[in-house]
Amino acid sequence: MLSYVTRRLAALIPILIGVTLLAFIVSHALPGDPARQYAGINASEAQVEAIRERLGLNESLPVQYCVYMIGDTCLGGSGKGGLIRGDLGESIRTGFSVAQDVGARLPATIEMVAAGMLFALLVALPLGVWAAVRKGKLLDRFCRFISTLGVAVPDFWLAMILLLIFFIVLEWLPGPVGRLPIGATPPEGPTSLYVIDSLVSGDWETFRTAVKHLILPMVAIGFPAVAPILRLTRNATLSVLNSDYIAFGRAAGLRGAPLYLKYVLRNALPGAVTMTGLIAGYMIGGAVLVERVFSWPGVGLYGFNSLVNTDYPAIQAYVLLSAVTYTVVFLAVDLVQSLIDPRVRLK
Amino acid sequence: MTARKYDARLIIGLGMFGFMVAVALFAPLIARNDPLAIDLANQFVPPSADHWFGTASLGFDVFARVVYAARHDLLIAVSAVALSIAIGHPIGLLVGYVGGWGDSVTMRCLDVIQAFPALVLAIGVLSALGQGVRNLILVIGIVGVPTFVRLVRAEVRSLREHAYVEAGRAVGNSRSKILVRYIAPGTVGTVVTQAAVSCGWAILLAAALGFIGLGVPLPEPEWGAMIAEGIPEMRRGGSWWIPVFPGIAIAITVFSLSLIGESVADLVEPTRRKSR
Repeated sequence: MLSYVTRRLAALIPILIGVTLLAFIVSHALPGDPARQYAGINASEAQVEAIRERLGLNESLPVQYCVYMIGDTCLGGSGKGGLIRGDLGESIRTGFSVAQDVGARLPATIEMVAAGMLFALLVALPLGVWAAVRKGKLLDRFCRFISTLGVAVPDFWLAMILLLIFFIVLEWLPGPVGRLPIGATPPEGPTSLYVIDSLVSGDWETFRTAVKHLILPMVAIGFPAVAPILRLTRNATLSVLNSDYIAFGRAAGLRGAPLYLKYVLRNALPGAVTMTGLIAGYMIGGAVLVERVFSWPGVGLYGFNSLVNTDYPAIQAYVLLSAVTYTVVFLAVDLVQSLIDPRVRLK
Repeated sequence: MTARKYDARLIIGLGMFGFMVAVALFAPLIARNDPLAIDLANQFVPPSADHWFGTASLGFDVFARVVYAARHDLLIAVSAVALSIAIGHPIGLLVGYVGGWGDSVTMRCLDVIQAFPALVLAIGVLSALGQGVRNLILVIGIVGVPTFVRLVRAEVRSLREHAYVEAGRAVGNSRSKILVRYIAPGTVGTVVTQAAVSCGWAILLAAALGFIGLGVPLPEPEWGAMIAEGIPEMRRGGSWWIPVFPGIAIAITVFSLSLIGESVADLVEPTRRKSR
């Protein structure tokens, strides 16, 4: 097992280097001049040139990449900065360190994605088991219809429809203003997940508003995930239901909820959880559109705004973060599966 | 279940998709209004007899725009998938059959490309290349290549072990002839299935890119961009018809493609039916 883990981790390194290279190339191929952006429209040519020099944009591209990766050693410096030292650089747009910027926005994305995946699981698991039990019946067909439809509906459109219904027509939930009403103080707490922080500190008022703001983004992010999880659960449940041990359990008098909860669902669960993990890994970077609809201050929106403003270090960090979470989640899923099923290691 | 049911799904899917294709082809006959006509006196008018789906800002007729947008979205999706197949299929055939270091290098490159969420990659590359229909096709097509390479490669690796391929080799066919005449035809089924699914996925990606303003340049109509036009109106509290109809058009198209993909998959791979 250990050698398998080492092998998989070693295989990760060239992929991640490739990812940094691709992120670098793409961000530097963007039209627009970050120095001019930084200097503002009234800056003189000399000022722009000075900024360009300071940001190191006058170096050749290979040198810039080298500086990005291993710091100022490339320029004969004392060895500061660089990705290998965990330094993501400084955002040209906000002036803060990129790590700080991303760190401030990551909890928002995590809160939304986690809530969305929880929603997807809560809907898809029971429905999937139920559909398998009623195989071929109306409910099963309905579930299949829903899951085919689920992948056909764009998440950003669903987000807008939800807003139309629950914010504009019914006025039950708040509009697209982010995690809390404009001007509200976020709750103090260790996690920066507003729902959890306000709950821990017993701030019920904030808790209620935070939950209200979270509901629609949660459904919009979670709904497209329902379809694949539902299908997987249904098929896994079907094969469990046809197994000998369930036949034995039934013969021994088990039925109803204990049978489904304890024996069927437990065996159908790993697949569904794996799938949820993969989707969540994808969503950390891929939630841009839903974040945009709800003005949700997450990493996706940060990445997009950086892109619009040709903010090289910030774009690279965002792209890197998306790719790394996705790859690492993928690896984690593989490793967990190889623990459960040792045959995977032999491939 | 009987085989007839699957035909029903295929027929419904093909019917719906055919309908959308017809809408795109005969757009000028279906929409009486000009999709680019500006009518400042009639902005944000709710659906009526004159404007079936209402009007948007500048008095754009939403019905005409939804209809004409089908041209852009379908053209982009179908061309992009054709591009993915044109690049991905031969590469998959070759690396799957030949193997060796070429195979390893190709797979590592695909790993790097697939490490990015497709949307993130597409946004980045498209911002670098600039807007426009041709670049959209290029980007969506390239993002879709790895899927086809992997699919075809896996198929080839299993096909090349088959007895009939060995027989072909035994009677003295060259390696290239084995690949083209014996193995390649066996990969067509999976590629067709994936093409339908990828096409739906390409429409969603094109709409997503349009939604964030990187799609077909305005004022040309495109479904994703039309949905985005609804955001500012939403804050002002209304004009539901602006985002609703283009979204329905996307959903119908992608839904029909999923139906086609599923039923073709069942036809190509009958063992799948058992779990149904």
